[in-house]
Amino acid sequence: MGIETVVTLVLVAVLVAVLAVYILAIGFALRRLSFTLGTIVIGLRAIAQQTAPVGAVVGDLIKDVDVIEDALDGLTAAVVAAKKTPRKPPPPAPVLVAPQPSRVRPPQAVAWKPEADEPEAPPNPRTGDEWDDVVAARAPGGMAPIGAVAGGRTAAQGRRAQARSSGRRLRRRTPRSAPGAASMSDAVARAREKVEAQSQP
Amino acid sequence: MSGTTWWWIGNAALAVVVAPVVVVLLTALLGQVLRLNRLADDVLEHGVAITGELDALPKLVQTRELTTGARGLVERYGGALLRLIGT
Repeated sequence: MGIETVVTLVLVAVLVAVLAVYILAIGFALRRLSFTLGTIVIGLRAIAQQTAPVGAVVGDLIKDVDVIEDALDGLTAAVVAAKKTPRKPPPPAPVLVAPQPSRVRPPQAVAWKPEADEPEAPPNPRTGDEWDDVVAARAPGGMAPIGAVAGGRTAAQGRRAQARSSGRRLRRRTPRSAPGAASMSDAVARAREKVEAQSQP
Repeated sequence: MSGTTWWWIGNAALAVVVAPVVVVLLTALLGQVLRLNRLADDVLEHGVAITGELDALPKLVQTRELTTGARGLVERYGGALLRLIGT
């Protein structure tokens, strides 16, 4: 075997060794790449599985928010309409039922005279001041229907006139209507004022 | 030229041309594979970050329950307010 044959064999051996080294390196790199890509695929599948119900849930959220928005829009429109329309008149005062004629004496008008020591009628929470007028009209001893006191001044009217002349404010002794109704009307008035105050720009 | 001369020329070509060309090509191939590895590592890192951001997704269910409750409450509130203002 000549020298040229030996050199050829050495060169081929070196070339094969280099090829083997490179192929091994590429093989290891590809194995690592395969592991990384497999991890990425697993992660992507997990993400897809975790985000699958997002569409349905967001759809429900959108529906709920739409309903809330529509309700608030309708409420705003109703408040604006209530603001534009005139207020309803207050409910009529309770009908005062006059005492039965059989129980009362004949009509007897009583002129009221301001007296310092005028006895106050007991408060009647059922009817209010109107009933006090009737009760006051009974003085000095008889009970008169409402129409009977029209000519003269009742005790309550006299108290109001005296208060107006003296400049002091007359204290309400009894509620005008039932306690529950009065508080409800006050609450409605307060709520209406609050809504109007808030709706103004 | 004799056969020995041609052999020596072949050896020289193998050593000077073929071996460097093979080395250059394999180096380029290995470089591309390593670049793919780096890209895959980057994708995996950001994918893990995305997975961390998805931890709040189960709270969507609670958000849906809360909005459903708010929907009922708004309807009740609106009805009560409409009754208050008398429309």
